[in-house]
Amino acid sequence: MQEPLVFALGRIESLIHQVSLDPARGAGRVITNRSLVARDDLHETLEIFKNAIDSGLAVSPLVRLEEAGERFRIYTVCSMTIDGYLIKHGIPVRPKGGGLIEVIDGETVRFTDMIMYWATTIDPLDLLIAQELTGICEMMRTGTGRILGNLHEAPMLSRDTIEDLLDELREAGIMGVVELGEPNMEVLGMPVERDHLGMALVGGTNPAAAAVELGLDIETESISGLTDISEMCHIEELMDRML
Amino acid sequence: MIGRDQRKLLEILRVIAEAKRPVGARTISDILSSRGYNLGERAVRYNLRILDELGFTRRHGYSGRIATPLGMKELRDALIHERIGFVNTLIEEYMLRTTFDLSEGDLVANISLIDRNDLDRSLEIMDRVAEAGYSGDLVRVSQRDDCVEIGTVCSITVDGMLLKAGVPINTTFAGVLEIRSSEPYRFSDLIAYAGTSIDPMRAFMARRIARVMDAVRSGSGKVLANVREVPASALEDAMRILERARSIVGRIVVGAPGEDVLGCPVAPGRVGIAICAGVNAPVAVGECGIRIQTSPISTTMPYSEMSRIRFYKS
Repeated sequence: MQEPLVFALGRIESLIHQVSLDPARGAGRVITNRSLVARDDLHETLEIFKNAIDSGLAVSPLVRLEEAGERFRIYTVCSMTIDGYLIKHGIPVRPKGGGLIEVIDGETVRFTDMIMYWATTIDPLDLLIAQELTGICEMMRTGTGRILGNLHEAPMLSRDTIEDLLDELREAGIMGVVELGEPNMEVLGMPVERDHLGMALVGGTNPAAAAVELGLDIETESISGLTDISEMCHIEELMDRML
Repeated sequence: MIGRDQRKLLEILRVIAEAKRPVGARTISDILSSRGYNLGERAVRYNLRILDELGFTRRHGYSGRIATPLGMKELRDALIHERIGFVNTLIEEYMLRTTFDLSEGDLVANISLIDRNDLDRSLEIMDRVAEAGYSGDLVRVSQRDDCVEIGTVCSITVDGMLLKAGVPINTTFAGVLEIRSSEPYRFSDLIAYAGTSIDPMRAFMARRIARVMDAVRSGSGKVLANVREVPASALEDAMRILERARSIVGRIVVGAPGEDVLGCPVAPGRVGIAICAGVNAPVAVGECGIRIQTSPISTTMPYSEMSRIRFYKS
C-alpha cells in the first residue's frame, strides 16, 4: 500500500502541532526552513541574510548553522511557528496560503499572487521563488518590490488574545506580522471567512529568496522541520564568532 | 489602485487591453454591456480620465484609448482573490474555442520559441518524447523574424472533445507523474487548478522538477500530466472519445469510479482521467540544454496546419 500524497496544509499542521516554544524561557521547538549553501558562498549568503533580517523581511534574527560535508545548512525560523504558538494557547488559527506581497514605498499594499496550502504538495513560497517573481533586493534597496508572505485566519473573537500572544513572541525575537486584519475585513486584498480575521505574516524564506535573486546557488526547503530554539543564535553573534 | 470603484476601473481597463485597436468610450460601453456591466458612455468617459491619471491608459488618435505597460501590469496584479483558480477559467474558454473533431477544426496549442539553429535537434528530441508516449506528435513549425515557433497539442483539446460529446468536465490537478519501467506509476506532486493564481504547469516548469528525458532514455523519470474528473455515468461516452483522442495526445490513464488515479484524489461518483501534458516535448528539449521558452495553453491552431513531427524532420 502506497502512502497517499501529502498536501502542504497537512504537512504544516503536523509541524504546527509539534511546536513547543516557551518564549519566556527561550526553550522548545520552533518550525524552521532549511537552506543549503556551498562553503565558498557561506559568508556572502549570511551577509545577505543579515541584510534581509535587518530590513524586517524575516520572522526572526535567530539562525542555526550546521556543516553538511562540503556545504552548510542554514536554518531560519518559519512563520508557521506563530501558528504553532497560537494553537498551543487554544487559538484555532489556520494557514491559508503563501504568496507575493507588493510593497510600495515601504508600505505593504496587496497580495499579487497566491497559492493555497490545501491545493499543493510543494510549498507555495518555494514555487514562487522558482518563478523569479520576487523583488526582495529591489525592495531592500528602494522600498518598492515584491516579498514573500503568507496568510492565516482565526475567529474574530480571538483577536485580543492573539495580540497578547504576539507580544510574548516578540519578546523571544519572533516577529513578522505584516498585518493583523479587522474582523471580516480583507487583508492585503484577500477576503476572510465570515466572522474571522486575517493575519498576514512575512515569509521566513525571504532571506534565502534574496540570495537566489543575487545569483547564489542555494537550495531552500521551506517549512522543512523543527529546531530547538536553544540551538539557535542571533545572526550577528554567529557572524562575529566566524570572524 | 485602491478604492471601491476599483472593479469598474479594472473592467474598463480589461476591455481596452483585450481590444486589438484603440477603443473609444462608446465601444467600451457596448462591450461592458455584453458582459453584464451597465455603464453609460458618459460614465465610461469619466472613468477613462481616472485611468489616464493613474497612468494605466493613454489617448491614441482622436478618441481612442490604449493600455500602457503599467496598465497591463495592473491587470495582472490586481484583485488577487479573483485570480485564484483563473487557470480553470482559461481552460474553460479554450474548451469552448476548440472545434477539433479528429478530422478537422482547431486544436488547443502550447507555443514554444527556439533559435533557428536548434530546430533539427529539437524536433529529434520531441519525436522521441512522442514515440515514448509522453506527448502527442502533432506540431506546427513556423518561422518568425528572429526565431522558430513550435506549436504542440495541449491536452485541453481532449477536454474540448469530451465537452462537445456532452460529457461534463472538471479539470482538477496538474501534477508531476513518476514513470517506472516506461509506465505511469504515480503522481509525486500535485497542484490544484482551483487553488492558485499561477499556472501550475508553469510553476512545475520553472522549478525544473520534470525528468522527461530520463523517462524516455531509461524508462524511469518524471513527466508532467494533468487530471480531469467526469461523472461515473459518463465513463462509457468518455471512453469512446478517449480511444480516438489517443492519436493526438500522449498517454491517457483512466481510473476506476470514485478511486484515485495514479495517487491523485478523485471525488466520489467521479472518474479521474490523467493525460500526459503536451509540454513534455518542449520540456525535454530544455533538459537537453537547448534554450526554449514555452507558454502552455496559449492559442488555438487549425488541424490542417499541423503535421506529424517526422514529416518536418525529413
